[in-house]
Amino acid sequence: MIDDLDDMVQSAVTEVFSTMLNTKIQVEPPGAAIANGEPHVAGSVGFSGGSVCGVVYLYCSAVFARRITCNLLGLQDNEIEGDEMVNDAVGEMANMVVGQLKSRLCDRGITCVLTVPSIVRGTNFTIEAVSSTSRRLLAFRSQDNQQLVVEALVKPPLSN
Amino acid sequence: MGPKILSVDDSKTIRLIIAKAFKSFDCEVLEAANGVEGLAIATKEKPDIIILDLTMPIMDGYETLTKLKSDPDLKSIPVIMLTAESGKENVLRIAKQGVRDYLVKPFKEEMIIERVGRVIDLKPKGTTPVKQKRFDDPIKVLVVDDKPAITEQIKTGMADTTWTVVGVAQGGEALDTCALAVPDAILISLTLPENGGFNLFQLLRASTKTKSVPVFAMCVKTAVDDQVKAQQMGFTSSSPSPSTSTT
Repeated sequence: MIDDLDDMVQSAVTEVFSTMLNTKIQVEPPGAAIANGEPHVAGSVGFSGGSVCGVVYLYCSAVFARRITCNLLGLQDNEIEGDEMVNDAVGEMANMVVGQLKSRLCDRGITCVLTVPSIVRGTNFTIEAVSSTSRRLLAFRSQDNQQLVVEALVKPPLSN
Repeated sequence: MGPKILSVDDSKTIRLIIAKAFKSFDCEVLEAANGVEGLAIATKEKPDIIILDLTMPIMDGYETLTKLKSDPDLKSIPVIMLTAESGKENVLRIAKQGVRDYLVKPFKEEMIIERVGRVIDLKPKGTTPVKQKRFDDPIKVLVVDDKPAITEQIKTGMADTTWTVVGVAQGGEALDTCALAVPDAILISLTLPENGGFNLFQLLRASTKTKSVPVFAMCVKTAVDDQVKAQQMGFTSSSPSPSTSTT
């Protein structure tokens, strides 16, 4: 039904980074997953409709999340008022990426609604799919060599 | 006090981006985190424009818009939707409710300034009220005509005044000239190819820099349809081109 999900996610991520942060983000080979052991921030937004549902996570190091926040709001690092501001910025980036995805699905007649963003913070966590759900993992690298991982969990399973 | 802009979005990030975008303009940016707060602030403050998100907790953008449009005191406030969702179905659904404009996230600051500037009069902070120029004041006139002879005739005609006439042949050049320094008046030939004169007028009116500059249409005497169209579009006035007025 949505065989080109990877392409849709890639194009949404690159467009959001280019427009909101004025920065290019390059796709990395699949499987170059993020290294755990350092603080990370994951922003997620779900989508749900009659024929498809899923959730998309954007996650990166806490350092990169602060840089995204600074860039998005035009602030210096010392102007960030705590983690809440970073959480909101990462959540909004996830919201924009999934919003783009939703719009493309909607144009194909696949209607769905979005959830409000949520945030997970931690130093050693993984996101796993339950059975009967397709998992897509995409990795990106920013111009300043920071990694961003986007994970999409979709039901019903994709054809591959 | 400048115009009031109400930003209704559950994302503090978006509210901060909007507040930052209008920081350099003489306006007040009010914030609400959901539709309920937005309606309360709209009722109390009567903003000049509302920038409204769609997906929000407590009361979403659709419901907020419906309530705004059904309230006699608030229904005339222009609303620009700012949302991450751009699917055809959403656009149609919102358009039916009478929004002024629709902007999709991701967006650049300039885009939201430009869209809001189409609806309300945005003035940069610290600018003093513009003094009305007198006939004998130095005035910069931009002439947009692809026939150099006409521009030359206008220059010759104004040679004895304190006015400066700058001529360009195309709409793109005119926009570049305006970006460098806004002229006091603009004369546009309606005979520019491919409706270039009308298209240029729309672009000038869409820009916060040039939306208030008087724009005059130049056309041949017999082009009545063009004159009517120019009047309907909002040109300051129209007059025959110099070459036609002398024949």
